[in-house]
Amino acid sequence: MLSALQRFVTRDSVAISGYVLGIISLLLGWLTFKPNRIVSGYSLDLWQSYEATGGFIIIGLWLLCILSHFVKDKHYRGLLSGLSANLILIATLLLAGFNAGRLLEGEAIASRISLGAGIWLTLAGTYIILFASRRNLTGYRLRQYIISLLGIIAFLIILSAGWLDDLSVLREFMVYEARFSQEFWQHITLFVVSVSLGVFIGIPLGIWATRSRRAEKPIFFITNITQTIPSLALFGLLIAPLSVLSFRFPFLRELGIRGVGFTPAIIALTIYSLLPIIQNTYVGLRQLDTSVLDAGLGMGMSRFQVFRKIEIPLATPLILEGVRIASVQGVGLATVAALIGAGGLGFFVFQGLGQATSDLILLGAIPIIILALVVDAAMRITVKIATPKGIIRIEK
Amino acid sequence: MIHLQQLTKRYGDKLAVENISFEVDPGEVCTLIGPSGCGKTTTLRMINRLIEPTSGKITINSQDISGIRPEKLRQSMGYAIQNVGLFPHMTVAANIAVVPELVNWDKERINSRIDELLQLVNLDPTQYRSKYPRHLSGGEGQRVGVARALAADPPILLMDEPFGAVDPLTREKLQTEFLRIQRELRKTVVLVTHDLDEAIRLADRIAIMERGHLIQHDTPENILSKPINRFVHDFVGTDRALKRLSRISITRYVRPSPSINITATVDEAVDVCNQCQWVWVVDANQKLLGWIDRKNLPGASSINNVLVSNLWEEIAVTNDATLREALSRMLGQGLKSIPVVTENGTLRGEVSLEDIEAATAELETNDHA
Repeated sequence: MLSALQRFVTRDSVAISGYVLGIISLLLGWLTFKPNRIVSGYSLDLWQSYEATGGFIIIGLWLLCILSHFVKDKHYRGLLSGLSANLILIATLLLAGFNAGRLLEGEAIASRISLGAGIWLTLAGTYIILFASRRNLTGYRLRQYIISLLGIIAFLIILSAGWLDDLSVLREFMVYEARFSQEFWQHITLFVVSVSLGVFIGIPLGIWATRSRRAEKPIFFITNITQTIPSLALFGLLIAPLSVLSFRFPFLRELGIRGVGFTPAIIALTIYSLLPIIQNTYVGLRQLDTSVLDAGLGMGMSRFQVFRKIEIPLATPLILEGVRIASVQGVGLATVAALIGAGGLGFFVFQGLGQATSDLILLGAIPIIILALVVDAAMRITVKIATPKGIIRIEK
Repeated sequence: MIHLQQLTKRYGDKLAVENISFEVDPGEVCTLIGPSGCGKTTTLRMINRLIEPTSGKITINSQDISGIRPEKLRQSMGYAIQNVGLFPHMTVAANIAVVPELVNWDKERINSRIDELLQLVNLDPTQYRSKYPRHLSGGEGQRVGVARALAADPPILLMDEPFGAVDPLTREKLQTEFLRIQRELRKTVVLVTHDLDEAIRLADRIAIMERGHLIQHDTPENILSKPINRFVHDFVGTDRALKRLSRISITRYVRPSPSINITATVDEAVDVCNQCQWVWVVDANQKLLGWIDRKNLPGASSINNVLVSNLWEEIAVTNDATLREALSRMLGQGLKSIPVVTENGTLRGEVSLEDIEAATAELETNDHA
C-alpha cells in the first residue's frame, strides 16, 4: 500500500498538482449569479450549478483521471489521463452552458451567469494534466497532437454551436459583436506588422553585430535598455516626439504619423520585438563550429557563399526561435496599445477595467491568451519545418 | 612544385613564422611538425592564403600565388582539417560535392565522382551517400573529410592534423589507408601533425619547426639518424632506433619458413622439426593455424594435441607491416620469430629477431659511412 502510494507520488509529479487543483475546484463556487453586469452577485457551488447529475459526471471524470495515474505503462497512462482531462474540460464547459440557461430561466433580462473560481481552477488543472500526459507520449506525435487539440477543437465547436451563449462573457460579446471583430483584427495587425518590422530590422542588426566588434556593443546596449523600459512608459515617451514631428511636417501627418494611435504603437512594439530577434540571430551565428566555417573557406567558397550556404541554414532554427519569442511577447504587449488609441483587444480589457465589468475584461483577455497559444504553436511548427535535416533539433 | 621563399608572418610584435624556405616536390608527402605554437598551421594556411604572409612569397609551379584569386587557388587544393568540418546540414554526398559544384562540374560527373571517392576511402556508397555527418563515427567522418578534400581531383592536398581527433587504433588504420591512396594518386601533400610517429610513417620529407623557425627539413631516415641540433635530437626522443624501424618494410626480411599441414602425422612433424625448435602449422589452404614446439612432440598422439593454436591476427603480421610492428608483435607474444601472412591469413614466411638485429646493425654502419 505504502509503495503504491510512493509510486503514485513519484511518477509524473507535475500531474499531481493538476489533481490537487481539480479537487480544490470541487469545493469552490462554479457559477456566479449576478442580477446585472456590474454587481458582484453570489456564487453557486457545484451541486447548485450543475445539479446532482452534472456534479456526479464531473466527480466521476476526476476519479477516472486520478485513477489513470495508477496505470503502469507510461504510454497508456499518458493516453488515459490526457483523454480524461479533455473530457473534464468538455463536460465542464458544456454543463456550464446548459445550466446557465436553466438558471436564467424566469430571471430578469439583465441578470447574468458567469464562470466562477471552481471552473477557472478546473481549466488550470486540466491544462497541467494535459501538459504532463503529453510528456508521457513522446515519440507518438499524432497522439500528442490529438491530446493537445481535442479540448480546443471541442471548445470551438461548443462555442460556435451557441451552447455557451447564456454565459455572461458571450452576452458581452453579443453587445460588442461588430466591435469585437474589428479589434480582433486590429490586434493581429498590430503584432504582425511590428514583428515583421522587427524581423526586417533585427536580423540584419544581429548579423551586423557578429561581423563587427564595434557595432556589437552599442546594438546590445540599446536593445537591452529599451527592453527594461516599462511598455506603458515607452508608449507615453513616444507621444511627445511624434506629435512634434507631425506638427512640423504635415506630410508625415498625412502618412498617419501622430502622437497617438497606430504609428507610435507599432514603433514601440517593434522596439520590443528587436531584442529576442537580434539576440537569437547573434547567438545562432556565433555558436557555429568554427572548423565548419574554416573548412568552407579553405575549400574555396567565398565569404558570401559560406554565409549563404552554411551560416544562414545552420542558424535558421535559432533565428526563428527568436521570432517566435518576439511574436508571443508581441501578442501580449499589443494589449497595451489600446491605451494610446491604437485599438486591439486591449480595448475590452481597459473598458472592462474602467466599468468594473469583469466579463468585459475576459472578452479581451481570453482571445489574447488563445491567440498567444496559437501563435506559439504555429511558430514551433515553423521552426521544426525550417530546421535542416542533419541538425539535431532543439526540443523544448 | 610548392616553393616557400623567405616566408615571414608577424602578428603585431609577435613573430608567428620567420624566414622559412623549403620546397615540396610533386608527388611528395611533406609533414610539418613541431610543438604547439611553432607556426606549422600558420605555414600551412599561408599556402592556401587563409593567412597572408607579412613578407616572402610562395610559388606553385613557379607561379606566385599572391597573383591568384584566393577562392580559385583554394579550389585547386584539397583541404582536410582536424575536426573534419563536415557541413552538418548536408549529406555525405552533398559535402563531397561542394568543390566540384564550385568549379561547375555537371551533375552526372559529380555523382559518379562521389561514388568513386567513397569507394576509395572504403565506405559503401549506397550506404553512406545519404547519411548526415552526425550519423558517422569519428573514423568515418575523417574518411569523408579526406574524400571531400580529394573531390575535384586537386594536384595538391593540404591536411591539418587530419587524423587527430580519432582513437589510436582508428588513426593507424586511417594512416595505412592514406598511404595506400597516396601510392595510387601521387598527390603533393603538405600535412601538419604533432605526432612524430605519424610524421615518420607518412612523410617523404619532414619539416621540423620550433618557435616560428624551420629547424630541419629532411627525410625521416636522416632526421632520425642525423638530428641537426639538440632540439631535434630531443624532439625525436631516445627511442629513435625504434622509430627508424617503422620506416623499414618487412618485405626484404621475410624468409621462407618450415611449416606442416595439420593432417600430417607426428613422425612427419618430428622430421621437419629436426632442424628447428618449432614449426608453423597450416590447413589445407595454407592458412596459418598455430605452431608446435619440438619438445612437446615425443609421445604425442597427434599434431592436434600439441598444437598451440592462435588466431593469426594475434601472432602474425601481414606483408605490408614494418619491422617496428614485427618487433612489437614479438615482444607482445614472447616469440623469437613470428609468421608473416597475406591479408587473408595464408602463410608467407617468417621474420625473426635476428633479422631485426641485422637490420639495425646495417643502419648503424650506414650512419657511419
